[in-house]
Amino acid sequence: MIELIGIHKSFGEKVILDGVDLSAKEGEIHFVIGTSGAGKSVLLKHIVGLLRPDRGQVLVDGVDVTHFTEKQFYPIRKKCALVLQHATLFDSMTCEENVSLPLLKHTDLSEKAALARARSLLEEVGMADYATALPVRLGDGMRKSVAVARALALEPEYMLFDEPTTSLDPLSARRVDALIAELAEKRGVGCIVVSHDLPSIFGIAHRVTMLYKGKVLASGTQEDLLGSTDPVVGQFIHGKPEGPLETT
Amino acid sequence: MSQPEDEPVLRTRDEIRRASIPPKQTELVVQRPMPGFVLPSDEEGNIFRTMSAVTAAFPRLERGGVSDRIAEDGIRSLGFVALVLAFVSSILVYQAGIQAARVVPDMTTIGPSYLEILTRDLAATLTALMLATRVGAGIAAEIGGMRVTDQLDALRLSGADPVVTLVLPRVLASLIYTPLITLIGGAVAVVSGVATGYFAFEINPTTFLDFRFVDGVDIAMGIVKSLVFGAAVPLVSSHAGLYAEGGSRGVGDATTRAVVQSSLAVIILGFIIGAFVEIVGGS
Repeated sequence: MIELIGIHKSFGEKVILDGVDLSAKEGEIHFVIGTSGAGKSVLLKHIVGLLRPDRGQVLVDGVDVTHFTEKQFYPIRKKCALVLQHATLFDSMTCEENVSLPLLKHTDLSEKAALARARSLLEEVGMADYATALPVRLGDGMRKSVAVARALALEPEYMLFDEPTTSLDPLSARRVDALIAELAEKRGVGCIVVSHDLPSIFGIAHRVTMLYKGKVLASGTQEDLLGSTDPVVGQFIHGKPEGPLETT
Repeated sequence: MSQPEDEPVLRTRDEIRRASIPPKQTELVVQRPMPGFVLPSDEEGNIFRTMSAVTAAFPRLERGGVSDRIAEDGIRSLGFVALVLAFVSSILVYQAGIQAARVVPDMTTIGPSYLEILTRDLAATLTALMLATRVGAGIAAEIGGMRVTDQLDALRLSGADPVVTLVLPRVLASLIYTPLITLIGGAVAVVSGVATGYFAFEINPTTFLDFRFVDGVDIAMGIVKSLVFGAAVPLVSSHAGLYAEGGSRGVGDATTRAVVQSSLAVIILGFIIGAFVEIVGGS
């Protein structure tokens, strides 16, 4: 189980997270929603040590990793894979080389075995035909699929997705949703998904947490969210331009 | 996409293991020694921290990286540096000749003085300044671009240390190619100086190529400077890239910072080395 307890984070004078609590267990899909600049991506980066909290605790399977060193975070990053917002593939490497990189860095697999495993993972996400292609040749959806394959390389127990369907066409977006749902259901992977995409949220989320002004405004099931009487929550989930919701 | 939409896109963990990994390699256990010093983080960076990280990364140098950088950064800079040194040398010899003709119409010391300056300072400094503009800008733009598009974070998530992967090979490669380019550029500058002396002032090439003012200290100073500059330019430029912030504008700022700061580093370090040798060596 991943637990974030009372996370505070500021950049300079700007308070991004102001005591946020969040958790995700294996097999669960937990969506984190909120307006741009609400601190959703910042929250995800705390789990894998790319950012450190000013205050608060990060627990992964009961282990307090808050003050882990970069070195100590490597096994945590193997356990919790983060798919970054822009599907950050390395442009100079082919798709299969991108996917094999974590295997070469984290395991003792030979280069040949790592590439074979990478091709198998690309097949899993429907990208086998592009194994030797450079990422610049791929569209956004394809790049995200390759990034997911790379994140799966080390068989993580948890996957963190930062806006996985942003900039995708509706079909590709639903395909990514299906992938996340299968990860949770078939492999028991716990997923935390940062997203604005309402069809995704109301398609596959088991739990939804809404961040607003650095705090948790609402948390519950899809039904809880739909039934919320909070005007800010209502405005956000119905996508109304007018209302009390303040954007940063 | 090679798989139909209605088919499951994922197999179970066990299925994948059986299909893709030989039995003896089924355990994906972390067995590699863990890196101890990784940049960048959300902490404030400074050049000394980057230098410490590069030093700490030394034992984890990966094969292939250095030779790639020598080819990409060094060999491709050779023509540019040689051309600049040829023209600057020609201008210097021409101006020196004009000034000498005004004061003492004796052209015999222009060659030896020029060769001394070239050996102890000019070749190393001009080469490093040109490398700061060409290589330093490239390093900052590439690493800065990776920083602002989260590729450095992606490297860290993949278990790769950005310093080991990106910075260390560039620094080591520069330590190798900077002295070599300085040597080649210096040779081109000598030829250019001889030609200018001959065609502008009718100085005999044999008279010009008089190395009587060049001693061991001058040669040592030239070598030390090229090595120090060779380390400084990629270090300063990588540092600018590692801490780039704020999209394409941030990359632009980092590139400007890299060129300005590495040029200043070359000038200031050159001054310090020169002053040190003058004080200690008394030459």
